[in-house]
Amino acid sequence: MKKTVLALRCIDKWFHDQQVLDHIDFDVNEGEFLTLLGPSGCGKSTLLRLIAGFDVPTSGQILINGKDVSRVPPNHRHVNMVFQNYALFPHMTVFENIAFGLRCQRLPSADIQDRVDRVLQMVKLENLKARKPHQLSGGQQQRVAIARAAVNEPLVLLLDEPMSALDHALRKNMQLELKTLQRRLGLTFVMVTHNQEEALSMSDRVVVMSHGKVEQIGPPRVIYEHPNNLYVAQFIGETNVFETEVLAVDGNNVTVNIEDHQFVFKTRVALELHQKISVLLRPEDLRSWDNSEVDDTKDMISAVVEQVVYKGSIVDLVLRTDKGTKLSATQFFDEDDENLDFRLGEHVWVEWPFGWEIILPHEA
Amino acid sequence: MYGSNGRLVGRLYCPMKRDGFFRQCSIVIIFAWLLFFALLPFILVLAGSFLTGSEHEFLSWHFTLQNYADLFQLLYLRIFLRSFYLAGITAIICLILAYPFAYIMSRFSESARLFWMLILIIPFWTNSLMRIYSIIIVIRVKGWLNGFLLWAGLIHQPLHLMYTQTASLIGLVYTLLPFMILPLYANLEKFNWTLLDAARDLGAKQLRRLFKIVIPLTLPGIIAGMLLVLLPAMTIFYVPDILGGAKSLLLGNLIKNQFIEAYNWPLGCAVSVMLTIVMVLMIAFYWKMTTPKERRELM
Repeated sequence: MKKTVLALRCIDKWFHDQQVLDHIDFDVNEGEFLTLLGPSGCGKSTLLRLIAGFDVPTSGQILINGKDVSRVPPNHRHVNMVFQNYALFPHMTVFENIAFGLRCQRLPSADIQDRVDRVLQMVKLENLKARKPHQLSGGQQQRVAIARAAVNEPLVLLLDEPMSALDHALRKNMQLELKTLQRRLGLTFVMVTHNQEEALSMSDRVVVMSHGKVEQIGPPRVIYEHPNNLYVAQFIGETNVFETEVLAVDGNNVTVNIEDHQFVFKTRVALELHQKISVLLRPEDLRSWDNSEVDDTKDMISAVVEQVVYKGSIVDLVLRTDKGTKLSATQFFDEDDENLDFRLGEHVWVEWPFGWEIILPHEA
Repeated sequence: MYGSNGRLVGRLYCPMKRDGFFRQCSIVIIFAWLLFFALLPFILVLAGSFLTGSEHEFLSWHFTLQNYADLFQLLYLRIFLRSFYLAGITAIICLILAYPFAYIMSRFSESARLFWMLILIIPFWTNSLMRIYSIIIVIRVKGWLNGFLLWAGLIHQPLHLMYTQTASLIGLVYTLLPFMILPLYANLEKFNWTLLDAARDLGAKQLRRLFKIVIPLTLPGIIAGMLLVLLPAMTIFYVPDILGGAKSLLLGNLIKNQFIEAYNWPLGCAVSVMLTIVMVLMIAFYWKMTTPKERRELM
């Protein structure tokens, strides 16, 4: 059983008459990398500020190691934050930046020297400790910011969009590095991001938020493969959605009509006859064949190629079904299918491995 | 850096980049102006400080260093020291008053800032001599200040402020306060307030945040403000003239007296040159204490 280090209990937050957080309730385990993911304005940054102690929840409790800290000031929480643009002190050297928190605790200077040096080693910045922040690259600044927070050995380290100040090429590298660093430091990370790729690739668990509510919590793979609802499915990655209804129910099997074809799907959720549902398919689950490659087209959907985007190892297709539905399909170069030479206007047959579709009740 | 949003319209090359002729004309005119009305007079003063004066002429062509030697008389040294002292006190009082004001103003919303800026600037649309005279109404024996203090029971005898050093000080602080506020505000307006959140997050209490973060980062503004107050404080002769009477003679008064009353132009020139040297030293100090980026941000 993992130890809970941070627990949020029924947190509501109102700014004047506007509710920004609605009943937030989840636990963070020790040593976990948890990501709060959502579009801007979903309340994820507010939640982070509440955990950090810069703001107070309207109601609810924040427990750190079992102790209610909802109204405890930031410096008494054993929580530290990495700010969006790092907020490094521009007039101090890297060393002084990192030592700042320890100096506030009035530790003996030998201890400070020791601990700062140890953290500098961990973030691999020993050689740069005499530099000022403006003499560092974006990635180095990020590491200083993490070191400055980590040196205080917080129970939870909070990161507010730590990648947003970096350029695109650097971001990929830093994602890996941040994950490695988190393991090396052995700290609990709670990160805020609006970038779903970042969330999926770094986190142990992702909290998907929208409009101040938690939509789903789970490991990246569960979030991606078994989204709770249409919002999560569409926010995380691209999705093709077929709106349809249940034509027949037989135990766990339901019969539905998609693009004038009858399909029988297994379902986990109980569905009623004539219930409206959405059938979701990820672009990478769709396979497209040209006329010469198929014999039996009974379970395939007929479509026309509208757009071909070649991306090296994959090809993204935009297809239009006979009924006019637009589909995205990603095709991989592999041994099974070397013929990825799609032309605009070409007719194709689309299928997917049965069982890979996601069935959700229809949402208005 | 922020040329795109048009904030730096004042910078010469920015709005006129394409208009080569207009640009060159403006530069030539400004240079000519400075040449004739600043550099040339200064050279005359510099030359005058090495000449002798006589009863018939203001200046006569006899080279001498006597004027500078005269400056080292106790009388003049005292005036120098008193000027520095008074200007220093003025600058410090201005700093103490201006810092909280600029700090609070920079945390206001955009429209509130404009309002307070306007409040600050409106008095400057009035002639400064007039404003100094109006201070008399406030601080004289039967003035508003004494009236208020007596009414409030804080004092039992009216204060005799007029024609004292205190009166000069009040006048100097009043006149020069905005010169402290403006550079501080320019500095604080660009202050990254997240830094204070970061410091708080790391456990810094209020005083540490102020002394380790805010003040070091606004040091360019503080130094610029000190200069902008110190330099004029030593030279605005009309403030001590009107409010301080004859009792607080400052460098500005000394220079004025040498030219207008004592008709000792060479000595007046020498005092002026000394003052210029002091100013150059102070500006050099400012230059050394700040980076080009910080200076640019204050302009």
